[in-house]
Amino acid sequence: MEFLKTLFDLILISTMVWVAWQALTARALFKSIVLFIAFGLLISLAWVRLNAPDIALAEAAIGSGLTGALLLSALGRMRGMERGWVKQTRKDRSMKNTSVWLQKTIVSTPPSTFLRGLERLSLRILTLVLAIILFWAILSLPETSPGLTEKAIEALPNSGVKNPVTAILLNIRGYDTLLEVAILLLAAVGVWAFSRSTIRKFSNPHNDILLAFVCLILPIMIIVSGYLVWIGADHPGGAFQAGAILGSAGVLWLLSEIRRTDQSLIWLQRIGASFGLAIFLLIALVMMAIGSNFLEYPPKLAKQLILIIEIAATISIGIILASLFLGAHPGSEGDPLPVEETYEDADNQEPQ
Amino acid sequence: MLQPSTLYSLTAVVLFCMGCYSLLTYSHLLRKILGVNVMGVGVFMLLIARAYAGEGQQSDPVPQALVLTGIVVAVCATALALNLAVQIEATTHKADLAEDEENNGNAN
Amino acid sequence: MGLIDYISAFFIIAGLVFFTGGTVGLLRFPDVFTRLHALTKADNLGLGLIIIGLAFHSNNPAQVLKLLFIWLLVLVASSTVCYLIANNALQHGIKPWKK
Repeated sequence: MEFLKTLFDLILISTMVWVAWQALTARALFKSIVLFIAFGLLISLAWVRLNAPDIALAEAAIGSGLTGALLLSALGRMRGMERGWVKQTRKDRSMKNTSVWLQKTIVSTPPSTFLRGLERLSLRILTLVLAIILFWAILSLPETSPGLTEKAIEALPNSGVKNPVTAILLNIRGYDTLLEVAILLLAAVGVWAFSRSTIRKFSNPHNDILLAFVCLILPIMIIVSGYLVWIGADHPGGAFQAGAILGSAGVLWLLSEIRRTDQSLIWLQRIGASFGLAIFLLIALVMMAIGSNFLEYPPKLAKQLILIIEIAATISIGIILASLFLGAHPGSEGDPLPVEETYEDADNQEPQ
Repeated sequence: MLQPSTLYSLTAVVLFCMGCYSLLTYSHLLRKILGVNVMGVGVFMLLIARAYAGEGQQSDPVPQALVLTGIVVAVCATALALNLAVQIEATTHKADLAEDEENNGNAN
Repeated sequence: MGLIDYISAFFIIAGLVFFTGGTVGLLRFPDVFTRLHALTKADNLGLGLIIIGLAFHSNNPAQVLKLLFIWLLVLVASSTVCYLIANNALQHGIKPWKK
């Protein structure tokens, strides 16, 4: 039986490393990104194998799904086609039957363009040396280490929830989670501050089947998200996984081109993004006001407080992830700087 | 030697080095971002593999909470980096960081 | 291994046969439409058989219902995505493969 488990581990690991290698060295970027999404799903299988189901949920939703959607969206916005490599892609057997349009839009780059032979060889040797040093470091670690499991299990009854990971995330190490929600908001603000271009038009508006699918799936996704928040107290789940599902629902909504430019939606985006951080900070400061320390919940109120924080964080995370995918300023349909003007400025400047 | 803990830690090192090599070798911005993501996955796998405590036993929840935070932060950083890459491509018409021919490799 | 284990293993292996067929189809078929055809077989039948196999191992009826719900959602999502890809391919001028 042990042999079968080790065999499964070896097969999973070799598939994982193979897919990662193919993803990093593929000629066409589209193939790279699709293989990266597949790699993310294999990684979430590894998390299940390593007894980490909460992380498997988060990796499948955020690490694989949402990152893949962000990468594909960025690839679609990059309109520069490396012309020299269009002819190369026609020789690629797997693209024999795709139309010329598709061949031109798959941005394809040669793997290493700017390192000369000696530099590339020395880089390979250095990476190999790094790998050997790290292997030796891993193999000289003790078999098992005590870790913080016992202390976490001891502190669990006072924390208000039964799932140890949720207890640590939202109660014992709540400060980390507070800063994490702040980082999410910061990323959203960064994306809003940098983007000058308008929202890109997706190519297939008014698609009836997509609309029907979205009308069916979106309520289900919202219910599943609420279920994950609720059940995160006792079983694997929690605010981040639920927020990721809500973010994916937002991405689906954006892709189906249902009305996006209401003024009220802009305010929903801004308020929703800061809502989680605001509630978290408010509760932390209120705790300080009633006599305990910053972010220290009294054990009787801990479960309710954690639930309030989780619900606020879920809404916030969902809205932030969807606006990260959108990538444009809220309400940028009315942006005064159209895309053509930026190209003119670039042509007038000196190349740097 | 073939404990899941050790096996997955070694895989984590392999993934980290592959991502590091990809980050340093390729000049296209999207490939660099993919390389950084693979490095991140390697680091997470090292943490979770060290937290694994055997078949039916409770694995260490503290590294798992750290990795959960890490996954979300990695996605935020990737989103910001991708937006910057798209902006670079929109203003300079190329997404490659290859140095100019006339500079002979000097970055000035 | 009891009888339940054997039955469940039989269904899971049957599902794996469909997944293998879908993968081979993805790799070997000549054009987008035929590949989509292979993939949706893997998604619908393969996943359905695996879920029937897993349902024998579940603890209570609620879990079986959750598994069936997952299968239903995957069915709806994969058929929609299949339609979208095929529609997009047709609109960009990819002709179906003729011998």
